[in-house]
Amino acid sequence: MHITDIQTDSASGLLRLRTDGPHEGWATGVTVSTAAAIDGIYRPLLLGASPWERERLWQTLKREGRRAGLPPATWGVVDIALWDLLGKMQNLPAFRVIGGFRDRLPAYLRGNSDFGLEEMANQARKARDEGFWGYEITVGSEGDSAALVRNLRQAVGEKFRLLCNGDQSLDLKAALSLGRALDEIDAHWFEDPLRDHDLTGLQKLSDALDTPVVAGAFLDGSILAGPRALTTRAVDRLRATIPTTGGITDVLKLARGAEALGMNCEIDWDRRCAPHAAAHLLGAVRNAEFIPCDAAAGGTTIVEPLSVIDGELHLPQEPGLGLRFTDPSLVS
Amino acid sequence: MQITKATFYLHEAEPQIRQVSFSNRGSIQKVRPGLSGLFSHSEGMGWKDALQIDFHTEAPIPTYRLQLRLHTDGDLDAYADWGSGFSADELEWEAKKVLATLTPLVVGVDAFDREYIWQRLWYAQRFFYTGRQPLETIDRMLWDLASRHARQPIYRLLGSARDSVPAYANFGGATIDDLVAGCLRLRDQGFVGGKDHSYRGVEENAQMARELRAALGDDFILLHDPVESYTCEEAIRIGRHLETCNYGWIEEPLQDYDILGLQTLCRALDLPVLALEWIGAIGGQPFNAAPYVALQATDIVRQRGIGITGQMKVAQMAESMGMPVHGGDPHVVLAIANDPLFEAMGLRPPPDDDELDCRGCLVVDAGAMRIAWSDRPVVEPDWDEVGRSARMIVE
Repeated sequence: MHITDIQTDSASGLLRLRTDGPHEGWATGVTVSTAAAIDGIYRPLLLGASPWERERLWQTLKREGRRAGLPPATWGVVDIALWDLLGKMQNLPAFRVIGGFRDRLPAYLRGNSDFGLEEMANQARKARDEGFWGYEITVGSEGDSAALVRNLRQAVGEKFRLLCNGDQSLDLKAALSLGRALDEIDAHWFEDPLRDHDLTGLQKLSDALDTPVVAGAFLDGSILAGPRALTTRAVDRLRATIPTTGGITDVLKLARGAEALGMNCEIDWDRRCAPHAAAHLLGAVRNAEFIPCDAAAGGTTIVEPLSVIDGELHLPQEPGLGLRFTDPSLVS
Repeated sequence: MQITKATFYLHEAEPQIRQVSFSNRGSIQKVRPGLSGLFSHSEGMGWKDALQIDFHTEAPIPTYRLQLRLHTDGDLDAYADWGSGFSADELEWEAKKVLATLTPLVVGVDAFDREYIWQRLWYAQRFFYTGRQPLETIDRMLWDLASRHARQPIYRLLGSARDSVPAYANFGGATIDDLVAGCLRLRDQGFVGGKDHSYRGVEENAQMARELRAALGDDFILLHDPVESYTCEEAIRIGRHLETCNYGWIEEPLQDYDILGLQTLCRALDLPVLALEWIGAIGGQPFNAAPYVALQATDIVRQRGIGITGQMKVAQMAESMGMPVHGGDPHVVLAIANDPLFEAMGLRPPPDDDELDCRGCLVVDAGAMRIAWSDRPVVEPDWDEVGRSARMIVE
């Protein structure tokens, strides 16, 4: 079986790998720029290739991507479509193609970032009562974030996990100050407190705080950058976002590197695509804790959402990634 | 496809003479007095011990083979040989022990949930002191099942990075002349390189390296494996000689336990240092290999992951930290991009095409390793017949 065509549609974000067999592979999250690069640079490398040569293709696309200055999401979406295709070819869900670890993922709710305390507290309590494993707030450099997280702790009680995302907007002084408040309220983690490349600042922060610091999704997209952040203890857990950090293959390698170092690689997904690729990867590794679920609207609407029941995301059991399109004519 | 049940079949196998023989193994001797004072295996020095100890039965005696089958509710089962021996009773009780402790960890789990099973049996190593073999065998059984399910060899399921890898082989000899002759034979067989196992100390090994390079020419890959027979100082000295002879790597120069010594050596030499065969054989990879990589106490990681899953973990850990690995299962070697050479145990000519199936088989010829395969399905065992012919079924 060989790849016979690559179709990109930046309006819907859909990528289709067509083959001369009965199956095709799909991915979401294609942008105008990734579509142009895939059509212009990757097409000749993919046409005629066997999908079974996934690793060779990953190495080739990554190398050519580097030469052309492409972001990791470019080969990432192609890689995701290959895993979808390989799952369909084997009549297995993608997480079992990798090697399954679980088919239900503990989920936390990522709250609306524009909410005030009152709305946030209501949303967090609702998430708690629905069985979510935690609630994440996103803070910026404005306002008294320390007071906010203390008040939120009051509102949800002692046991419910609170996660804080700094959205890469804080300087070290502000991050340390907020981090002390997070230690005080026993926050579950402090994500993206500083910019990912500030490994010196991250290291200082990780050393100082008891709350685990989670970062690294934008580390130049190289699978080699993440483990460096772990071995120097610049972060307590690595963050990898699909497809920003790369495809399933990239993040699987990062997760294996982190596992060998006794650390977690927390797997996230870009809102512009469906969460399926991240979810399947989480279903195949031990050292990633939660799948984030978004409270706010604004993600892709071409795919039906995955079901979350009692705070657990249920992985689709159909072959491949299990993408179900809201408008089936997209892939007809 | 859920695993529903585990069964052991105890089979009678070919009668064999049972033998243990000291003279076949060589002894453990000091690396030549006046050198390191370390101990090594005298065989690699070309020394023969005067001591001859040999126990054996007069005639072949019965042997037995234990086969594990993991039933599934699908159309394929997982199966492999579990062990063999001269005592049917011992194998019967081995089967009972496994059924009482390990297979309950697997029954009821999806046969494609390899990661869950790997992690579970990994921890069973600790709590049940099982050693690495149960995890090794069961993980391979599940990959073999996946291979038969997809009708593709395992390396393609892992995402084939390449279809062949250049191969080298090992050579030995009692004298340097023997070693040179042995290495020339490898070149004649088409191998791209050769690796000694020579424990002669720095001066003699340097002499060996010079003579080998002179005899083999510039293009042949030469690798030195002294198997822990140097001190750190000696390893730096021999390393410099090997660099002038353009060696590919020095393998296991110090004890793997000597993390700081290995780190010193890696910093000193341009020649890559390959370590972790022994500590990896004991177990612990990829977890105990990662700190060596992070501390740069090795330049190449000897592949000792447990099962196909464990070997992929080691390879991906190393890749994510910018390091090659070496060794392991041929399917894993073909599936990764960071293992430059295959260590062959001699030539393996390809079988006839009509003998091939989707599992594939290892071929070593023309200086390269590959997996020959066809899309023909594997002929599955007739389990009724297996049951009838077994001496005993333990379930």
